Parts: sequence; C-alpha cells; structure tokens
Amino acid sequence: MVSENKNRKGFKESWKREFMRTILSTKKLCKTFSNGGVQQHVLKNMDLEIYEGDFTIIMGSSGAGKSTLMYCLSGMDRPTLGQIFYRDMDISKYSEDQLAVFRRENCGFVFQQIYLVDKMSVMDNVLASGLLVNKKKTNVVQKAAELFARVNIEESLQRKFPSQLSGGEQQRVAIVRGLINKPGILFADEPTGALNSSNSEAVLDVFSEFHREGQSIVAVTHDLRTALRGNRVIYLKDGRISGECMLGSYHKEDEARRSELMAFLTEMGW
Amino acid sequence: MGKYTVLMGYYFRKNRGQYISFCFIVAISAAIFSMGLITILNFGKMYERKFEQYHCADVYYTLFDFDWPMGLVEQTEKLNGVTRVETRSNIMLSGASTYGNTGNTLTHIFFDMDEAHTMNILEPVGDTLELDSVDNPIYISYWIKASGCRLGDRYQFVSGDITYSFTIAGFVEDIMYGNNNCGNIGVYLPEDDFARMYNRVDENTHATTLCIGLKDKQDGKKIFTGIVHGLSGNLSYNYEYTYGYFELSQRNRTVTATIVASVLVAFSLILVVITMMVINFRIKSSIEEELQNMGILKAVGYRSRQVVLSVAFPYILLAGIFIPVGILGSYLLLPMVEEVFEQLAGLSWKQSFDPVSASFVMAVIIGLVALTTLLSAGRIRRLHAIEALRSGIKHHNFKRNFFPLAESGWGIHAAMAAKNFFDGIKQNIFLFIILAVMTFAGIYSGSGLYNSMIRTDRFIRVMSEENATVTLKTFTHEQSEEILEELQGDSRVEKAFYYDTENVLIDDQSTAVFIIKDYNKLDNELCYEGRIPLHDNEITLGSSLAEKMKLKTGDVVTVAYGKQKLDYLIVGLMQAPNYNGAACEMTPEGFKRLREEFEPSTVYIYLVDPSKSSAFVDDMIKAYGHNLAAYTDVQAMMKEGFGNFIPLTTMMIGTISIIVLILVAAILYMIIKTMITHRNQELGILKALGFTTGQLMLQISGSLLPVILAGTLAGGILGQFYVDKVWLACFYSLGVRKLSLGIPGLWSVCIVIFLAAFSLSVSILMARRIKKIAATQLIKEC
Repeated sequence: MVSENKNRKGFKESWKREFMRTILSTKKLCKTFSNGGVQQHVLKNMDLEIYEGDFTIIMGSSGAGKSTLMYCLSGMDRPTLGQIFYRDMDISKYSEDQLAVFRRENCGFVFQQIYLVDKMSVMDNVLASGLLVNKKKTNVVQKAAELFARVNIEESLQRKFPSQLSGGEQQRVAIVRGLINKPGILFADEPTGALNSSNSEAVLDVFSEFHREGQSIVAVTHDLRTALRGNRVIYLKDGRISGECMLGSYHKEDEARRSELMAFLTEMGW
Repeated sequence: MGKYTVLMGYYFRKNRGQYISFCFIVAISAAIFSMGLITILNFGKMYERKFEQYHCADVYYTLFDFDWPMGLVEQTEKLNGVTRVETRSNIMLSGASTYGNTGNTLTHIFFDMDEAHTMNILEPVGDTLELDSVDNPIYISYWIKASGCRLGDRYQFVSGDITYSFTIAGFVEDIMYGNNNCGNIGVYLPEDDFARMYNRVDENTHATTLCIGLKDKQDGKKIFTGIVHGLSGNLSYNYEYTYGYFELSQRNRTVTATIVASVLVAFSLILVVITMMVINFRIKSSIEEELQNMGILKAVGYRSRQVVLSVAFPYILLAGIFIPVGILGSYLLLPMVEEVFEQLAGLSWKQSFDPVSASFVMAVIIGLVALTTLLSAGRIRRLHAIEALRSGIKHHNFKRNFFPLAESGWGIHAAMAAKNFFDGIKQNIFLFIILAVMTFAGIYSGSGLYNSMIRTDRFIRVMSEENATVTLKTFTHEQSEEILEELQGDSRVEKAFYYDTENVLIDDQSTAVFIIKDYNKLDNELCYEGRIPLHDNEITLGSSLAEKMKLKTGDVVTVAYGKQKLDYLIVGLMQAPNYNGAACEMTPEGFKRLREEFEPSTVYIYLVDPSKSSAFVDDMIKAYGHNLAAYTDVQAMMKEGFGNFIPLTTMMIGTISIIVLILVAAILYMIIKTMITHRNQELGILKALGFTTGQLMLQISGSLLPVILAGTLAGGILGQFYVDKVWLACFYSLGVRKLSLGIPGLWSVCIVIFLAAFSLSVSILMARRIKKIAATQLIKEC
C-alpha cells in the first residue's frame, strides 16, 4: 500500500536512489505490545529501506507507530517478528549487549525530552558517550570541541550542568552527544517538540547542516517545519507505511517544497 | 476514602518489593523487642509469684550446729519487722553428685521434706513417683531437671569416702538453694530416710536453717545485715553461700535472664532506629521520584494533607499489620528462650500472652513509624504544584562537577563510578552509617558467639570473681599450711595460694571481703582503678559501694566486723559481679586488724591440666579427707553450669546472627533499590547511548564499593575496639567496670569481608534488574 508521490523532484530522487546504498532496512517488521492481556499490534509487516545520506522524516498520527518504528530501527527495542538490517547485519537477532554495542558504534540519538544526564556537566554528557567508543581521550575531547563550536555552544557553557542551559542549548548539546561517535545514522524523536520557535529553528539548522555534509538522519515528528528539512517523508497509518514523498534538498523559503509537502500530507489525511 | 485507596494502591504496586522489606524488618524488630520485653516484665514477676506461692522465708541463713549461737532465734524474733521465725534441721555436706550424663559439685543441704514447717512449702513440679515404689527417693531442684535429668534417674552423691544413692522421685522449685548461682543445692528426703542419713553422717555436718518472715520482704537486706553484724567474729566457718534474702535471691535467679533480655531490647531498638532511618530515606527518595505526579495531584485539587497521608499511610498500615505478626513470632520463639532461662533460674517458666508488653511494643514501633513517616512526608506540604510539575527541586540544584571526564586520568567506567559516588554522597553517608552499625552489630553477635562457644572462660571471668581449678578449705590454718607446702612440689599444680572470703559491714551493708596475700598470682584481676591493697590499712573497694557512698581512691572508709570498727584507705576500686559490686579486697594483715584470730584456711589450686580436676580432687580427699571442711571442683562446676547452657545460648546467638544477616539484606535491598530507582532515567539514557547492562552494573557496584568497604571497615574497626564498651553497658548493673570480650582480629576481618561481600552481592543482584528492561522503558520510567 505504498502510494508514491511522483513529481519532478521525486523522479530525480528515485533516480538518485538507484546509486545510493541502503543503510537500514526491514523485512516484515512487526511489533506487538501486550497490555493487560490485550494485544496491540503497533507495526504490521513493514518493509522499509532507509538510504545513506538521507534525512528521512517519519510522520503519522498519534499511535501510528512512529516512535516504535524508530526505536526498533535504532536497536533500542526488539521487533516481535521480522528482520532489521543495518547494512548487512541482521540486528533483530542481537542480544541486549550486542544491541548496546551496535547503538554506541552506529547510532546517535536526539530525544524530545532531550534526556541529558542532569548530574553530569555538558562536556561530561558528551564525553560519556564518546569515550565508550574511542579510548583516546584527547581525540574525543577535540572532536567534542569541534562539534560544540559548530552548534554554537561556548566553552563556558560546556562546564555547566544541563539544567543551567536553555532548552535550545540543551538540544544542541544532545546533537553533539549524538554525533560524537560519527554514527551511521542520527535518530531524532520529535527533536523540537519541547522547544520554542527560535530555538527550534536553530536546532533544525544544525540538523540541515550535518545532513548536507552527508549525515544520515531519521527523525520522527509532527512538526511541519521539521518535516520540511527532510528530503524524504514517510507517512505511517495504523502500523503500516501509507505514503512516501520525495522533497529533494532543503532550501530556505522554498514555498514550492512546502506546498508539495502540504499536498502530500493532505492526501495522507494529516 | 476512595481517593486514598487509589493513591495507596498506586504506591503499593510501584514499591511492593520495598514494602515487603519494610514489613520484614518491622516484624523482626517487633519479635526481638517483644521477646526482650516479655522477659524483662515477666521473669522477675514470675519469681515474685513463686516466692509468694511457696511462702518463702524473706531471710534465711544456714549455720552448722557447732557454730549456732545460743539465743539466735529469740534475738531474731525481737528484731523490728520480723513476724515469725522458724528453724529447719538439715545436713550440709560437701561432695559431688552425678545424675544422667552430668553432675555437680555444689555443697548439698539435705532437708526433711516431711518436717512440719510454714515457710518454703515446696510443691513438686510435674509428675512424681510414688515414694513407696522407689528405693531411696529424693526430691531435687527443677534446675537439675533442666539439665536433662528425668524421673526415676539415679542420683548419686559422694562425700568423702561415702556414696549415697537415690532415685529421683520428683522435682521442686527450691527458692532458697535452687540453682548454680545459690552456691549450694537443696535436696529433700522423706522423714525416715532423712533420719537415717542424719544419724549416719558426721555430727559436724549437722546444720540448721533459720527462716525469717517479715512484714515487708523488701526489708530483708536490712534484717539480714543486722543478723550478720551480730554473728560477725563468732563463726568458725565461712558461710559465704548459705544465706539469702528476697532481693539477693531474686537477683541470683533472674540476673542473667534480665541481662540477656536487656541485650535483646537494646538490639531491637537499634533495629527500630535503623528502620526509621530507612523509612525516612525511602520517603524522601519517593517524594523526589514522584515529584511530578505529586504536582499533578496538587494541581488537580488534592490537598497537601491528602498527598502526605497517601505516602505515609501505607507504612503505618503495614506496621499495624506486621508488628502483631512479629509479636506472634516472638511467642513462637519463646519456648526456646524459656528453656534457656529455666536452666539458668531453676524455675519453671511458661509464659502466657502478655498484653502489656504486646501493647507497649505495638505502641512504640507504630508511634515511631507514624512520627517518622509523617515528618518525612511533611516536606510535601511545602511543595507548590507548579514547582513539583517542573521538577524544580531536582533541577535547581547546581552541584560541583566531580571527576570531570575530560580531566580524569581514569577509564570511563571507573570515572563514571567515581562521579556517581560523589553525586550520591548524602545517600552514601546514610548507607555508610547503616553498614557501619550493622557490621558493629555483626561483630557484637560474633563476640557473643565466640565467647559462648570458644572462650567460655572469659564470660565466666566477667560473671564471677577468681576461679581456681579446685578450692580446698581446712578446719585449721595448720592443716592448710601442710597442704599448701605439699602442693608446692606437686607437678600437676601450676600455682596454689590462700584466697579467703569473709563478710564485713561497710555503710551498714554486708560486704564480702576477699583476703589475699599475693594478688599478683590472681588470674582474674578485679581491680579496675588504682591498685590492690599492699598494707594493712589499705582496701580496694567495690564499684557499687564506692558509687553509692560517693567515695574514690584516696578517701577513707569505715569497715566493721563484730564490735570492731576501723578506717581503711581506699587505694583502688574493684568489680565483683557475684556481689553486685558490694565487695572489697584486703591483705590478711589488714583483715587481722578487724579479727585478730583470723588465719587463712582456703587454698585456691590451679592445675596445669584443669581437665584432670576430678582425679586431683579424689586424691586430695584420700590424702586429707579428714582435714577438709569443704572442697569444690570449680572446673567441673563451671563445666556443669555452662555445659547445657552454652549450646542453647549458642543456638540463640546463632539465630540472632542469622536474623542480623537477613536484616542486612532487607535493609540493603531497600536502600540500593531506592538508589537505583532514583537513577532509573539516567540509567535508561546511558543504556540508550550504548552502555551495556554489565557496564552499568559495574558502575553501580563500583560507586557503592567504596561506601560498602568504608562502612563495613569502620563498623569492623569500631567493633574491634569498642565492642567491650557495649558488653560493659550490659554488665554495668552487676558492678562490672572492666572486661575483655572482644574477638580476635581475624574474626573481625572475616566478618567485615563477609558483610562487604554480602552487601556487594546484594548491590549487584539489585543492579541486575536493569538487565531485563529495555532502554526505552527506563527512559520513560522517570
């Protein structure tokens, strides 16, 4: 039931994909939750491919299975049935510890609630993640400094605790933490959900900048501004992919892109 | 009520493991507290009840007939407060008895059980045998039954070269001479058998017991002192253990039980205090965990009081259910305690339900639980809804960044564990205190076990004065001189010297005086302050006397003996548990100033191999039997006295040790679970970032390791150096001021290592719970 929005940019994108590598894919992915004896099928036989270098947006109404899909793709949760491949590796068979190693080496995370560790300084939040993969502390510290500079987190802020920073600053720190290990994919769950509009823009700019440099990103969102930053939008309905839209590269104030997305979403019943 | 039920139901479901631990700790504390209190409140009363039931003499004194002064009965009758006086003929014989697989070497006082008398009416306890159906029937103390003796068993008594053989026909609760602490044991024969024995024995063993009834039995000590004062200087024999009065007799029979009960109460109160600390910690942590939910409740209109009650009430409710469970448990364990105390007292004790102690235990523990929970939950009142919704308290606490990862030279996991350690410093201090206290309690239990199983001699030293292997008393000084001279060349003897005990009056109180020439030969030095007497005008005074009379070293005390009254210089203070600290020490020359004709006649003999004491005593009887006024195989007596008592005590202390261990686990479970729950979100984030369960467990255990090591080590060091102080507090009322009941360093090290390993294992087991939880769940659990 994949309805493809064939348009000018979409054609260009599909042509491009012939030459792009699949970084993540699922086969017959199912996820069922059991609550008080009641089975709730959240993801149903989902086949999906995520391409390297894409900024993939997952949208859908509440309860459609967006976050569940993202957590399964990132190895945070296990599928009930089906397979998930990261490059050639079937991560659906991984043990808890193997998934942890997979996450630290291949995934970065940005959450709506930000989830920085309160009692650790900003720098320590980043290093705690970085030092898990790279044992050379100087390299990690240097990399962290570079990333902080890119997201405009000054040195004085790096010594502070997360609660002493604004929401936007915290989320930018979370992006640095997510990217410190040069992950294959950066996962973002409603990354601007808890931010005001100016902070949201700043955070989204960071996402766009890293995407331009080739970073693969998968973001779950309800927010139109976030969706506009992606080059591919997947729409979920009742645990299945109901539609997909190719938007091409992001440019500011691209009204045509906005209209295109709106049309797609309207078609999907958003 | 419905809204409370909903909220409490939520808290019950969320923290059920911790509530189970709480119930367990409360039940155990209540059980120990109840058992101690039942004993303290009822054991002494039981003695008083039996004292009344058997119409016991308020004062009694047994004298050999050759020492019986003319007109003693008439003079006693004239004493103010005396209502009646009665005498009972008896035979007082030194010797050794055997029964079952054991025996005793106490001096036996044989009474005619059919003699008409109005005081000390004895009734058999339990079944009896028909007197006509057995040969030489004898009624003996219930204390001997508690040693494992049964009806129909043979009871043999050997005195000198004569063996008397009896059949046990019944057991009686003898208040006068009924247990080991009385120094003598009363035995009762039918009229004809008594008459036959009376005629058979040496006339010098004929004795009479003076039984005195008083208007007020509490005056017993005063009347007794008056009699002793009148007899001073006129007796040829040392009647150290043949007297008694209500207060002294009660102490002899109930003191050990009261001390054990006090230890139980103190122990349970420590547990209760720890429980309160844990509740306080748990509720405060719970408030932080539930901050947002409480904010929501307040925002939707719940009043502070309602939220406070919903947090506090589950604890109060559970305490209300599980304190009675603990009290019930104490009654299930009571038979074991009763058996120990029956053996100590020689009195049958079957305790029924005691509503007073049960109500007291209930009121104290539930009162403390209610107070602690309501005070701890009280901070909810100060919490504004909006502040709680924003988790304000947590977020506005800017702390120092301990162990910055960029600067730390440690590996990531060690550094993270160190950060956790410093970030949770308040919790760690709390855990440190709990572990230190529990380890101290472990060392205390260990020392009880060590001293009751391995070094029984140390308990004996604390509970008594000097204990030789064998003591001999001759009729004359010349006889004892001859024996002493012979013993100097005996290869079996390590040392032998004079050690006499007499009675003097100090502050109108009958006081034992130990007369020793060479104090350096003593094994159990009683002097704890100053020094021993060296000159004839010096005295070392007992602790309780010195404290009562407000005297100290350097002061002068007046000592009376008969009509003689002299001042002595106090050169030191001493302890004497058998006399409640009412004793003193003098040189023979010092005592001679009071009683000119005094010559030492009691020889304390220490054998190289104390286990051969029985053969040694036999040899001495063969060689000097006709010269011996009395002899005691102290080694055998101690073995008998403690033989059955030690396994029971060991079982009791062992049970307490196991309870301590289970409690440590339960308390650690509560604390560590709370600490982990408190960090759930953080652990979830770290797990999401790629930390494995093993790494996080390592960090949790690593952050707890320093506090576990420090807490157990501190408790161990405190226990090693200060456990004697706790024992001293237990024995303080006996006049004990110095003792040595510590355990070897290796024992302490083993206890510390065991508790540290145990605590670490519990922390690892607790940390394992994150294994089965997906990172997403942990994050959402916040």
